[in-house]
Amino acid sequence: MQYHKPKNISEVTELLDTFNGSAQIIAGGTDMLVETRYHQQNLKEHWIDISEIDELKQIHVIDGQISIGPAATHSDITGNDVIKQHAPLLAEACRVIGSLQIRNRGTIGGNVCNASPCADSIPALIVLDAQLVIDSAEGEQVKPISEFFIKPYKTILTPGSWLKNIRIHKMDTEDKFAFLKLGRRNALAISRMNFAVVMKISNHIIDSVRLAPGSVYPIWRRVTEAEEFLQGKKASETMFKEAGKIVADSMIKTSGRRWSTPYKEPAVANLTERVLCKAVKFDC
Amino acid sequence: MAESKYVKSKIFFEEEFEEKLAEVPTDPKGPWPANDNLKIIGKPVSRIDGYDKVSGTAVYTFDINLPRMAQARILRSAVPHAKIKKIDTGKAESLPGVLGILSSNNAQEIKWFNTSSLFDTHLRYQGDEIACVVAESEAIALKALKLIKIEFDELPFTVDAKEAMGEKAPKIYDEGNIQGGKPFEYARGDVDKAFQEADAIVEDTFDTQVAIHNPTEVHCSVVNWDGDDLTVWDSTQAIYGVRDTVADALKMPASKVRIIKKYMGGGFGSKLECGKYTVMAALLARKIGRPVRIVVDRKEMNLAVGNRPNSVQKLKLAASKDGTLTAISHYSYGAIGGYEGGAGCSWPARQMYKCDNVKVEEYSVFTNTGPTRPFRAPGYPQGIFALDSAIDMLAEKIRMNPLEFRMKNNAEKHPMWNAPFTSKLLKEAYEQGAKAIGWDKRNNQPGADKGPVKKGMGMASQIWWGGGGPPSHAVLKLNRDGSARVIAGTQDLGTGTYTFMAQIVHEVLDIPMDKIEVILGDTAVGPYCPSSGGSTTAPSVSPAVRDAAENMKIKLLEAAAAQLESEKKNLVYVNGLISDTSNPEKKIDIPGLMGKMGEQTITTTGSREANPEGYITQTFGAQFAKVEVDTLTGKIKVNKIVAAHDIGRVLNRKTLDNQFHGGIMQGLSYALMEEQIVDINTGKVVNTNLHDYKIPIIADIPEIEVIIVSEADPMNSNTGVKGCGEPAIIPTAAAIANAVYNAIGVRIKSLPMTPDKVLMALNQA
Ligand SMILES: Cc1cc2nc3c(=O)[nH]c(=O)nc-3n(C[C@H](O)[C@H](O)[C@H](O)COP(=O)(O)OP(=O)(O)OC[C@H]3O[C@@H](n4cnc5c(N)ncnc54)[C@H](O)[C@@H]3O)c2cc1C
Repeated sequence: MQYHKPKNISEVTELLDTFNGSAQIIAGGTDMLVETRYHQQNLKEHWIDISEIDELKQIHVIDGQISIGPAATHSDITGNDVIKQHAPLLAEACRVIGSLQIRNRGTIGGNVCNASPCADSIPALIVLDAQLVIDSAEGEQVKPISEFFIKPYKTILTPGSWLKNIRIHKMDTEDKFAFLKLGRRNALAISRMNFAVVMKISNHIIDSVRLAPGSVYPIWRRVTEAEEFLQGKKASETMFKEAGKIVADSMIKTSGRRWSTPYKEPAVANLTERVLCKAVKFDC
Repeated sequence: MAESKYVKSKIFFEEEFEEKLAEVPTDPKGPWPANDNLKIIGKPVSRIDGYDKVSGTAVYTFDINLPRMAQARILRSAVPHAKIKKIDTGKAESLPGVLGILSSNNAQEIKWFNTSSLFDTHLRYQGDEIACVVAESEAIALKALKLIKIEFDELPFTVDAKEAMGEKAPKIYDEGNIQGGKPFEYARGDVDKAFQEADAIVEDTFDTQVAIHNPTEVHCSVVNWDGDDLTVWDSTQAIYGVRDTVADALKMPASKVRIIKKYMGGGFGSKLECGKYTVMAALLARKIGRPVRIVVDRKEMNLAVGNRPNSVQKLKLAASKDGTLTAISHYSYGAIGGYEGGAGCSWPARQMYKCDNVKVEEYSVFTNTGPTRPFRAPGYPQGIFALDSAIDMLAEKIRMNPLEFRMKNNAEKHPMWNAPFTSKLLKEAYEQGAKAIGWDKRNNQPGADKGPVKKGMGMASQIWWGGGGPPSHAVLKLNRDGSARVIAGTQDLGTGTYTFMAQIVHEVLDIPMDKIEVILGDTAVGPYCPSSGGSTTAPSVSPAVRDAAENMKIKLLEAAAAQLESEKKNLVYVNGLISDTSNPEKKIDIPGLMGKMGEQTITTTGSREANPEGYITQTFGAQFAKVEVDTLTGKIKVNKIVAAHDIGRVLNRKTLDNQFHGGIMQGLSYALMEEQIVDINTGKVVNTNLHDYKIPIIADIPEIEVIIVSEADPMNSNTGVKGCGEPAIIPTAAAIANAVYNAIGVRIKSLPMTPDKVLMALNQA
């Protein structure tokens, strides 16, 4: 293994290009260092450390959009004023990742690129319609996050390309939102399931809703079935319960029945109901 | 110095009674007064080793680094059952940096377990030892392990106790898979008749999982030869046990083997016996003429250094309408892995409650899984989980409050031997615990809470041994400047042994705590003390230390009488000053007195007294749990545990609380999270690290209130201490299970009580 520490963005792209498929980015290393023990074969020979490149850690508003550097740590995100004000859902998702130590090192870019089914920031980025800026020697391209993942642990990134920036729209201050995570213990637990939701409601009527669960489908997606069902309806526990059933049904339709289904089916339905309730501050 | 005599003394250790010939003092010192009348005993004293540990300067076995030290690692079987045909170490040997390799190819035959050897070619579980490599670095040793080629025949395997008991299962031993060829059986009274005459009967099956000790510090040894003398630093609960095993294995005099253990990061029973790794390191060190460090890593710990066996328990209980428990029948089996061990869990059924008719049948079954070892109250957390769940079911059936039912069936005498107890304050524990948790506010209707999150309260009882006994000795050396050193051949696992020994010396001789040094864990200097298991260290060792300190006081008074030309009966010892009550002019302090004696250090010894004949010493208690269950996700949240126990005298309130908090956390973990999972298709463990094998973190820990209902056992020893390390964990899981039932009205009969099980039980209800 060889370790490289580029000073700026263009050096990162250059190094990736030079090593032509035998290099990978290391950000916080909280996923990669675990891999060294268990799946060393998945790791590349050259490690390019971006964790101290200042411009890759920045979070700010550009052209009305929030730009997040991939090397921003989860702590950077939860503590950032722009995020707190304009993307509080993302802050909520990042706040439940691992432990303080993990949040201080682990980055949002690493969370997205590692593409683990239990990644907590991804459902939030999905409902916030994140755009990912991908860079390579051939140039830059922007992809919606919905097109970024191929399957668990596999993204569309090619050997010479990397995630340079994440962009999200500002949330409206009236947006109702919630994030919910189910883990085996109260911290330092990966999610067995997680849910992110953003809703627009006027006069108790749901104008729009965006709902994305994690660890429910083979790959992340919004549950349009449930979203369409809820649109135009009055926000109520009964409706949310129905939406929960729709999500559970659609999970079984896509993934089939597995050993975990007897638990997951009711749990997914119940947690969908709960995350919707949580967003509108119902008690359920 | 007081003379000693020899007695035959019975003590209960881990799972069995042992009778030992023991040297005990002829002049037993009377009991101490209540803690309120003592200076430092029972107070919340900070650990004397606290600074070392908190600052990181404490040297654990793992940290020992000797000049020219080489590193050894073990190659273990990757399959659950196989016979080795050939081991080819050629490639590994030629790897630069490899210094030596030991396997059945070249190792001398050393017996291990009754029927096996250090390197057995019959591999009985995933993790069984095949070879050991010593190299310049750990990385090289690990690389070399991968270069060793093994040719073996894979054998059919069985990893499930029930299957292994069957006719068709592959045999791990020619005699069959049931250890000893038959079950352990026990009976009293007439169970069948009692069931016929009963007003109410409950019958159900409970199961518990395999749990791993996982102490913080991994198992490891560092060995060094100096000529024919062998020194072993070992992370062990039994320095003398390791010494004897190593000396026997290497066929050398015990006098040439020295075992040292200063600080330790826990053991929970998994370090009670000498590991094969220690002997392998000693052999390799002798071969290469260099010190060797051997480490068993977390994965190996999760495979090969012991576990709490699983259990399947079929229980049938009967009661009469008035709430008398009339019969218990307990049938159980559990997997003990590839080598001898014990999966028994019927002790609670036999002795927790007064019950005239009891029948027990239990099987320890060989399987191709990792070995069992005693684990913090072996058999009890699983036994109490099943028994006290069934007790609650029975109480409900006869419409009696489960607390009242337990009170009614409290055994005044030991139900198996009809012998009196030296002390038993279980009723007090029930009463004070119930009061602290607010038992009167418990749901009368299980599951009646509105809303998806339901609250409940439950309780369970605790019984354990923990009285300790002889032989156990201590040496006290008093220096000219009034400082002292107290030495014992016990070991501090992190439980606070160093600290209570210093407290006792301070209590008796008024020597300031910072002038008392405690030396433990060294077979070359410490007089014999038993291994640290069975919650016996404090009850066995504390009386010996007090005896040594009291003997020192006697000695000083005698010397002072001679020096001051006073009558001994007129002399008093106060704050290290001896004065004559009949003549205030006559007084002398320790430095002054010792200056006259011409000895720069004076020494006394002390010993643990015999246990009182015809009495049983046990610990008792009850734990109460408050939980809430999220019926949408199946998650159980424990909000509070009250632990009320009779553990004799408290020596140090801080280290006592540490033990209870730790035991309750481990019990909660056992109740809700921990579980070793073996893939039945491959016979391999799927969760061998602390990411996949979940234990709680501090955010999962509820409020814990510890109430000690005992002052001191009046008969057991001069300190009246009973042990508390194991009692702490015993009732936790059962109390939580009963609270869960009270919350949701559905009983979870299987540990751990994961969200999956809870949700599924709710859906089926
Ligand atoms: C104890 C522990 C607890 C954890 N708990 C959680 C949890 O609760 N929730 C959760 O979601 N995750 C959790 N994680 C996983 C991990 O911390 C997160 O996924 C983290 O965000 C990863 O970021 P990193 O910077 O450390 O990634 P790294 O380990 O540095 O990288 C991860 C992967 O992404 C690639 N990569 C990183 N940055 C880029 C980039 N800019 N462009 C292209 N590829 C890139 C790397 O090459 C590597 O393949 C936990 C991990 C540990 C060790």
